Amino acid sequence: MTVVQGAPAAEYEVKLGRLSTLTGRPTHYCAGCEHGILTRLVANAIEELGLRERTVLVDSVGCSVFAHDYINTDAVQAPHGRAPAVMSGIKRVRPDLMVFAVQGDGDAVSIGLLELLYAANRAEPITIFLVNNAIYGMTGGQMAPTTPEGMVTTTTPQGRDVAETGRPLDATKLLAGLDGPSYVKRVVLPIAPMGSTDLYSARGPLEGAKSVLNAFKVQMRGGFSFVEFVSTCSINWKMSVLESKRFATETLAKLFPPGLYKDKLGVEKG
Amino acid sequence: MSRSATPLQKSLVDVDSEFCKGCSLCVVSCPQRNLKLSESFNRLGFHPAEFHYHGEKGDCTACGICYWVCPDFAIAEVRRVRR
Ligand SMILES: Cc1ncc(C[n+]2csc(CCOP(=O)(O)OP(=O)(O)O)c2C)c(N)n1
Ligand code: SF4
Ligand code: SF4
Ligand code: SF4
Ligand SMILES: [Mg+2]
Repeated sequence: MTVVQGAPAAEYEVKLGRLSTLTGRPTHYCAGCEHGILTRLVANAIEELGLRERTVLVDSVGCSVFAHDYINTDAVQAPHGRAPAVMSGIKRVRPDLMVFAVQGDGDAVSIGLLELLYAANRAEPITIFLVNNAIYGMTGGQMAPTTPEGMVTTTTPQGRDVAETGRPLDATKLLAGLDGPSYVKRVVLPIAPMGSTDLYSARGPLEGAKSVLNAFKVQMRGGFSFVEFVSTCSINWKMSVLESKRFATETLAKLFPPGLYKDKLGVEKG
Repeated sequence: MSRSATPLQKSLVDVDSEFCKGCSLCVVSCPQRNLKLSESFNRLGFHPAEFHYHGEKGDCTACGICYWVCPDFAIAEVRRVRR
């Protein structure tokens, strides 16, 4: 542990510090966005496992498209939605590498649903983190398959009409219903307002850190792992940062309930 | 950016103010209320978070919550006095 010399009488040790798995570049994410929080959780887990030199990030298309600018591992850019297919190829050729992706809900559940389902069904030993902010963030806020009923987006100005577009798709439940995956979990990542106090709970990010670590451990033991992070997009939801935290943790969390949906290898038990 | 510490401070949080986007997630999540948005601006035009060892609800406990909730790696280090 690094020791930092403070004032003459006090010696400080770094409890939590800078990560070599982060490039040190500032992100392009909007203020308060979970894409940034997840970046640190992923970097922390890779560092804790000592796998920086053996990890490949496969970029999706969406706000996470520049994840390689921030995460200091090797990276390959996949076409929109195709990360699971590209990951399968890399992993089959180099099974010694840890292969993971951060996908958006548009990327993974809309254009790329087929690639996701088949990679999961084939039980490819890869790890996918899904940032579900219920909208197409990068392109300016169009409806996604995950958009809740009634939500106003640029393509549903009257609110999402489920009679016309079907009900919101639940990727976690779809994957948990397959035989292939070893680990399927959903975490509500944003900080959450706590009752009448003005304090917010950090349970989401803390639970997220644990889940990212477990997902990587599952891949190391040969399983397919998937964690969905219910997230926000305050910019496109047209909310303040803190309003978006309330919406995600109170409304979206009902539509997409958090939980451990599958843990074949029992990694959560330790 | 480093900050000087007095021997009375049991912990210390380093904020990289040029990384901060003033989102306030650390401010509202810190159980002791040790973080506040500054009145000044950083180069990006945001009001960056500032650390105060003596918070509104108590002294910083080095719990690390601010570190985990910050989306911009602006909470660069959480240190505590070596026991
Ligand atoms: C083949 C193709 N079709 C459409 C697009 C436009 N496009 C870019 S990102 C995106 C959706 C992003 O939404 P999501 O995956 O939810 O990511 P977010 O930005 O919300 O994290 C779309 C449709 C594209 N780049 N390529
Ligand atoms: S557009 Fe939405 S998802 Fe993208 S960085 Fe901004 S808040 Fe995050
Ligand atoms: S370490 Fe904990 S107590 Fe100290 S400033 Fe951060 S959140 Fe507050
Ligand atoms: S959470 Fe990070 S970016 Fe947001 S105000 Fe605090 S230090 Fe700044
Ligand atoms: Mg999205």
